[in-house]
Amino acid sequence: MKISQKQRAKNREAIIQAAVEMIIEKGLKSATMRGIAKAAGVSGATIYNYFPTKESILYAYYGDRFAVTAQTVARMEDLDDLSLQEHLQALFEELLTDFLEDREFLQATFKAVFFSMPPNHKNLKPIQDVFFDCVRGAFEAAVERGELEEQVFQELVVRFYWDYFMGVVVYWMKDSSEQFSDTSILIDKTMALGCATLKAGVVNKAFDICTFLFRNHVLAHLGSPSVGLEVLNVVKESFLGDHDARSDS
Amino acid sequence: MHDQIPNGKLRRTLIGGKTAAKVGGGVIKYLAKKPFLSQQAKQEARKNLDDSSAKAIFLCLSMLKGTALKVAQLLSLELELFPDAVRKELEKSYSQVPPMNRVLARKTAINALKQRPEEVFSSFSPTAFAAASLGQVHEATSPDGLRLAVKLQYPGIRRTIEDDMQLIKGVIRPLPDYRLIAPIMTEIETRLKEEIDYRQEAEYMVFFREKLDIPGVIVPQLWEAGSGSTVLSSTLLQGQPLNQWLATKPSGEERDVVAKRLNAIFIESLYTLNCIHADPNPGNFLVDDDLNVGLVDFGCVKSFAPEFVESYRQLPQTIIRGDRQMYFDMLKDMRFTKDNLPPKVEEKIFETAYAFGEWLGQLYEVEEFDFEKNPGFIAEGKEMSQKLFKHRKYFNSNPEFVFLDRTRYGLLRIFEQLKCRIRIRNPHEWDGA
Repeated sequence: MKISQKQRAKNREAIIQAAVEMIIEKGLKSATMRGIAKAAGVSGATIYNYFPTKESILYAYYGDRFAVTAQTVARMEDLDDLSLQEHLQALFEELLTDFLEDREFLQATFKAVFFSMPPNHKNLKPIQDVFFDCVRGAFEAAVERGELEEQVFQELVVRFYWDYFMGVVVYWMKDSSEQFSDTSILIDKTMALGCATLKAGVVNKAFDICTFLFRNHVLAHLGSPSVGLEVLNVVKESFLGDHDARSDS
Repeated sequence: MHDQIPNGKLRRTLIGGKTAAKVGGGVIKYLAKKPFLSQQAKQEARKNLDDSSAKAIFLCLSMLKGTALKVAQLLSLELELFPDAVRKELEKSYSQVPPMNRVLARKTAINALKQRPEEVFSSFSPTAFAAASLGQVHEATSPDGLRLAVKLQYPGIRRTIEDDMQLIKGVIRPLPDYRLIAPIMTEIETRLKEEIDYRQEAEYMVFFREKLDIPGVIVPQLWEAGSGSTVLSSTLLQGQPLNQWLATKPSGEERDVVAKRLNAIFIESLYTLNCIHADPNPGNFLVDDDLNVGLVDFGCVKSFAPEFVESYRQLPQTIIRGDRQMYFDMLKDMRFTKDNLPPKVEEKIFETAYAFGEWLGQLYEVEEFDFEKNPGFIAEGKEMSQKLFKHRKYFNSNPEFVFLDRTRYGLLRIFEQLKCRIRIRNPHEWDGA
């Protein structure tokens, strides 16, 4: 029997929701595909049409949450008006707000999903891509406004924000302050530092130093053949000498 | 980039420690110089010391923001026990607060309201328009179109007060006046804890709105739907803070009108309500174009026993009559000093108190007191109060006196700044007035 697209989406959502409830209640290990299917109101076989493994349900949950938040942030009224720091801070805060209801689920699954060894790149990538797009968007907007100069290693910096966010979530999961205000303060402080560093062009300047050193001390020497030969000779001699010594023994 | 409250005890300790070292260094330098200096040079050295320690302290306090800002405000209003240089730096704190950024403010609002601001207000400005004690004030509109002032408490402030006070005490310990300041710090700590209770503040606001009926004085109306334990919404008052208004160079008559209204707020609250707004920070009085005085921030309100108020009422006239014995008896009745003091000590304290009273009495001797023509008046009182304060350890820890004196003194200092002419005699304290 063919089911409608709508019904399919509904089933998928029901399965994810059932998994969240069950994992909160019983823990990640004790939750079974069969049990989740039953709680979601689908048959023990049907669930496999949606998710091949229990883990894939987890990834689907996180993928959905990131996607929903990305939309929420994109729809924010005064988004264009926000500074880089405020924009990124809004992204972090919205993600946590979205996770809040399922905080216990995060505590039970976060490590398995995001810090699994070896990392499950195939499943993580779609989640990360949504996050990267958001961060990249904030950067590009800041560059356009003239708040930030173009970053040489923008992609690297964007990726760094992923690890940073992971750290924030870990802190948040352990935060026992009222309404998790400590996490808000932590985000605020670290974001202020991060954005100040970026705006000061620290990464670009570090890159400048590297290129300077490389040009003056590596490229310049390569340009002079005698030096190059000298180096080659030294290498050759030491290699041969070494070789001779060894063959003597 | 907005500065934020450095949170976390370690970070705060680092800042505090740095300042303590700086202040300490300054004091040592002063002491090292001291034995070799002439009297005049000594004073000069002392002044330099104050300046540099003031800067170091202010730097530290403004970095800590939050509690420290409030302490700075309170201390600057304090009985001028702080060296002048320190006080001047501290006074800057009224206007110089880096605000929470828009996203953090919004998050704080969501936490405080338990809903998103747009669900509570028809509009909410994420940018603060004023700093408040331990928080900041945002403008908003209620669904039925009322313009509101929404006071948001800094996140995490509740937990950090004790740590902060500990730190600040450490910072000011090397100051020459530390022994005098220490007890004040304890009082301030108690007050801070009261002040973060916005529910209590809301009750006081309602109380004053209902009971304080003075022409030209406006108390904002609480907007309950936008209030909670860390958020307080009330109708937005027009006008600018007293200091800013004063900077617009109002005329003498205008200044007199405002001073009269400020005085009426104090006198009426004390004698008809037995309850005063005990935070005469110039930022808490808003003056509008029609010279109406808006009273805001009910974080520090003090109530008095009717018997106490009754005795206090009679003090000025007793002084003017020169009835020394009666004055002493009244101080005794009001339990001004500790019980069972050696008579000589008590006598000495009463003498000092009497001198202070005489100083205050000058205000009542004339129909109208002109602060512009008596520029040294406050300075003289400062000296008197310092003398009185030296006996502090013998005072009964009667908080009623502390708050009453502080408020009254704060008010007089405002009058001095206003350079106003004002009639201090009033029907409550002066027969036939």
